[in-house]
Amino acid sequence: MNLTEDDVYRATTQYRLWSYSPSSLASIRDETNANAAKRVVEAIRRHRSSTATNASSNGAEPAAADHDSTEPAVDCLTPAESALLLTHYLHILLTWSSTRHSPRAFPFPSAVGATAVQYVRRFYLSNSPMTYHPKAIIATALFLATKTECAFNSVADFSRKLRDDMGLKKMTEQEVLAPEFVLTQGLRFTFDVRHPFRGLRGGLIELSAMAQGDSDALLLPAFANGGETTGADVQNEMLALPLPQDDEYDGPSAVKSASDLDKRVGAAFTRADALLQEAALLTDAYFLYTPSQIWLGAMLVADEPLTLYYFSTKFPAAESDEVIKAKKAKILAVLQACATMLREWEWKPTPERKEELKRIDKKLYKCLNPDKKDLVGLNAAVKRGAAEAGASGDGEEDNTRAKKKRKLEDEGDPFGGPLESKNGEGKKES
Amino acid sequence: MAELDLSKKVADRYLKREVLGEGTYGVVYKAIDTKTGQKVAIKKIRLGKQKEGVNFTALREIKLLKELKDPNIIELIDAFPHKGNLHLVFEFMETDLEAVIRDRNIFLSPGDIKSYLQMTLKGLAYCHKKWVLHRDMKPNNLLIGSNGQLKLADFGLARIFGSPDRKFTHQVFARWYRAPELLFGTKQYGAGVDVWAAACIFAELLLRRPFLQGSSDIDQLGKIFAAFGTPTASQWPDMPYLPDYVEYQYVPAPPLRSLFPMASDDCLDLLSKMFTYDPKARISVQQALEHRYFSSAPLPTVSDKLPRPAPKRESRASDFNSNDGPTVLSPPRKSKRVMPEREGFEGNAYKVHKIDDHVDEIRLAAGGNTSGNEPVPLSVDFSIFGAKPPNRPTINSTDRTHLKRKLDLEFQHPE
Repeated sequence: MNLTEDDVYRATTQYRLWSYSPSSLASIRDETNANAAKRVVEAIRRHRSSTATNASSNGAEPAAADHDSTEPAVDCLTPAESALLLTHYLHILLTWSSTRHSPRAFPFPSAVGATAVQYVRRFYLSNSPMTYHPKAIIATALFLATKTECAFNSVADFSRKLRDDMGLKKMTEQEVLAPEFVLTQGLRFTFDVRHPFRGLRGGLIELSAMAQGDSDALLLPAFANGGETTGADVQNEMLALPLPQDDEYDGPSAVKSASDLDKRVGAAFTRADALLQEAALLTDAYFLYTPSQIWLGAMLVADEPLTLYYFSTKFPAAESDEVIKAKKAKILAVLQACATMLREWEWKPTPERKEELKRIDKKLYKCLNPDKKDLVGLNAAVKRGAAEAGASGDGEEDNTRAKKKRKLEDEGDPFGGPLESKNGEGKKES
Repeated sequence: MAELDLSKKVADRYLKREVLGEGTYGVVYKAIDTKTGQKVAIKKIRLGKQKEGVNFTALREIKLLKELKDPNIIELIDAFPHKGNLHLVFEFMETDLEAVIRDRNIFLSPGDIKSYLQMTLKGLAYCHKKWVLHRDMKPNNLLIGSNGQLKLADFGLARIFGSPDRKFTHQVFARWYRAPELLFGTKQYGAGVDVWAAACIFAELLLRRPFLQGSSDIDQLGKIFAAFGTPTASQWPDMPYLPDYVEYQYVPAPPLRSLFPMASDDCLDLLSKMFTYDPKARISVQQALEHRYFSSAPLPTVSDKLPRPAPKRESRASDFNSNDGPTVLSPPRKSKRVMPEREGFEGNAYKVHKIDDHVDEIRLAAGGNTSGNEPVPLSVDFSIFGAKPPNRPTINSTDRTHLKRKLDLEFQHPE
């Protein structure tokens, strides 16, 4: 079986169903928002007219046109407002999910919270906060992730912790469970999320070995043909690397020994890891980049000279080879774009942002789809078999989406092509 | 609303036929996919009574199967909600390897055994390449399709491996297929546990009966040591440090040849490498596939030429004690089905099959007695067939409650 790592990734649902180009991502969200807005307006109008009918006892049914003129128009969320609100709730979800974010949080491994965040992000590609309020979804997403990431807690313990330690005084077991089915549908029954954490750890182990002079240089493609290069040479080249030029670098100020180098590698890892635990999760990184692009992007932010050196050792040294050169440049451009996204990410609770969020939350209160407010009731109805499960995605129908996805693939690979070409240059795994 | 219509259409796409049985977390139906005309098996997962929401075993199986697409792994074709239940649509499988092994009318040639083992290992190699451990390898989880293709099924116990710090439960696999490190209570293990189980299946194909039939975990180790000799420290240095390690009286290994008198040298060589005590020294699935056993004569039989039990006719189960199981309910024509005429057999099987379909229609038209003890072993979850030889322990029977507790423990993060 000759599956390369690229082949393995291309077979994942994360690649097949949940990877987009920036433009297709934006158009999906616009479409979802527009569909949801249309439905909200219809539903609110229907509710208003039914209340009016009930109120006017035995009176003639008022024509819908009357309401158009008398009732205030429904002010719907814009895609940008939806996105901001969502990020706010995702941030809350993150602080629940790991003691790294808050001492009273659930003591889950980082994959649980990270998976839950991606579940919510994927769910809101085809659903709008106007249909399902994010505060009703995030707890459920975390609970679902405990099951799929093997950190299962009973729903009783889970909801008790939300009540006792997360300030959700009224959270019930039913509220945790009710949106679960809708959520699984929104996720199209794909629960596997590929994270960059393990890749980063692998990079750390490799870089540490190189820093210690322990790397067998011949295993690195850059030195495979030279034959003369040793682990010590690699270490010396690393010692000669310039230091990063940004203010947030907190490694040693001069790198003179193997132990300095080790500290530098450690500092880069710590900073990159912090980016993976927040920036990578709260931006569109997972939709736009592969796990290895994300962790290498984070490393570029953390220590660019070190990461560029590491990157260069992965390619045969023959710089004259145009094919290799072009490929290297292509991948590096993708990594830099990802790095920029992670570097620019910022989420500080400024007063302006708080005000803005308050405004959006108020606005949402008035444009939340009344059909979907009572998720517990809806779920109970579905279980009784009274109605079809109500995962009314706001997105396009599946075939439109499939078409779009195909189109996207025709336009070119959003991940910048395979890392290894079919004719076998570069390292191939058996 | 458009989505509701869509959902309805999906549900209407499948024409429900008879119930195949009751699974661990729901009913399994046979159905026809009206879009393709193909037979499928639909697992219905009840959600209404689930205290903890969608069953986590089901979620785990869906999660992994959505990522695994391989000719030797059961295909999850579709998943859809209907009336508040989750429905999983699997490709329909005719029989399973346990039925093949137990069918006394079937003669398995060395090439046939090689072919069944090779398909088992190919499916397993794909899982391991994707960092998935199956953890419930046994003949009745190896399903066989109408073209003779063998596929791994029942991923309810499977999980991702490779993180050195995560601890697993050792209560996996039916006992007879459990590797010695699991029997000694290890919490950190790898792909070797699936290799050991595959070796047990290999041996079972050669012997036509389960190889190491322990009656308890202690006895299971006793049976293993009786077959291969008590391991020495040099054979397996980590053994004394395993959590449940107890010293066994030393018994020497009888020659492997004496246990498998009919096997070729290549066959015995591969078998002994798969039955290596030290999991670190045990052959990997990929290495096993590259072993000369598979390239030497006789070559593995082409899958559609493999002997399989003839499809059984629908039984009117009411007159029989269903506990006696499928073997008693042999159709009268079974006695006439004397093998090795492969070509003839295939033709014959096809005819029997047609009759079955016809019978089905009649039964449905007549209101259909779908009483759940159909002898057709056709599903993705063989725990649905309550009727088994009495002493074959599976996780589904003896260890189920225990296992559930263990799994819950495993799911609880230590901190």
